[in-house]
Amino acid sequence: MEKIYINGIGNISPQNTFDESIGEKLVKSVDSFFVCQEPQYKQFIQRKLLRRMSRAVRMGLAAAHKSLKEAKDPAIDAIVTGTAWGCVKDTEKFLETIIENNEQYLTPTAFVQSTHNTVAGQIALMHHNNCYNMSYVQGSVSFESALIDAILLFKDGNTQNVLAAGIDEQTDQLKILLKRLTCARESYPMGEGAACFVLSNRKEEFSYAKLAGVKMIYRPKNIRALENHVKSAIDNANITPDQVNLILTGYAPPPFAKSMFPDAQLFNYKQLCGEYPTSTAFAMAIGAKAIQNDEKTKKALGLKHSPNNIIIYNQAENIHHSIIILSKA
Amino acid sequence: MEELIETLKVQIIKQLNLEDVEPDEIDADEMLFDADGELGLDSIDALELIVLLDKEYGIKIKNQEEGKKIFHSLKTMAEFILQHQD
Repeated sequence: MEKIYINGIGNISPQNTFDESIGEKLVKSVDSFFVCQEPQYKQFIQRKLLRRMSRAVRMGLAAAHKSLKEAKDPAIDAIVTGTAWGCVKDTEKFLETIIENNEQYLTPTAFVQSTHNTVAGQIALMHHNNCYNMSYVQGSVSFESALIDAILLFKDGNTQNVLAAGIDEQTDQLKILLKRLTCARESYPMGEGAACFVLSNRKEEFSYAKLAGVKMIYRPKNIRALENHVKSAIDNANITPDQVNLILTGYAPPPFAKSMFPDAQLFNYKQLCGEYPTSTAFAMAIGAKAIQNDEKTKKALGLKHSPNNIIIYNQAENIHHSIIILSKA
Repeated sequence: MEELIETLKVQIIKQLNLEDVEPDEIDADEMLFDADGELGLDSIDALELIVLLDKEYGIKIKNQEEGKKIFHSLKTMAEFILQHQD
């Protein structure tokens, strides 16, 4: 595994994570949903451009801006994003227009901006960047797919800095559907967020953490098979199970936690951001800050000490499983 | 004419999603497509305005040169609508 460092983070989430570290007062879900706390976008995006942008685009651009600023504005060699729902608000808008106007009087704006690669494209346009630009739409492993692409780019050897992001937005229509499908429940709230990272092959004094590994597992046959995948991921990251201090996970504890990592602390990060396909990007942001010994983040996660190694584990309906490993820089 | 201009202001703000712009702030004689102007509309907005004229007033614009004159300002738009409405 190449040495990849997280040198900048921009994290828009339901918690107060954008301007500072996660707030002391943690926000709870309302009516089975978490909604992002958004910054004043005018400080990052021109008014003329802002009016055409949906929340997903705004959140992605602001998170990218913040991460680049934290990383001291390095030259970016690639932009890779992951999103499952994409710019769903614009999709709804042009579909509604089709219905309302009986398939006539269709305007281009919402249609043009409804595609899943709008955020990555707008980041490139705003930063006058014509480098490699890729968006991954792969359900609950969209963000992980983007990270794997970033790792492969670093492996190629011609890449120094990659902007990687995970973005998903909620809309009123989506909320109705998620409730109707009983996906959103009081005990299992849905959420949204945009987290952006500057990944670099250079360690800086301000580096948060090291991205030590990413693995996606598709339909593991049984728990034993899943354990083998996890073991191979931590082996590749050159860490042993006893060196893992924290597992960031969802509502159900990972089936391998007790057998493989009996001493590691478990934390359900989705109680802070809700369930959404790229929620692991939120987990990576708070995990990196915990590793960097950020006091507020440690407090929010119930940690006494800064962890050396973190596993972020996510799974969706036992189909897609994913592991992200973070280590001290 | 004045009433139509006021209606157009509201319709344009809605159609072009001009956040933070109030109808009173738009001057009827102001150039709509001036890059340095207050509104600073662009080519995508032109398409939106063509659709607005068709949808709200049943007027189709077929000639590009004609469009430039019609969309010069709110006043020219209103004059064109009054001339071409049934």
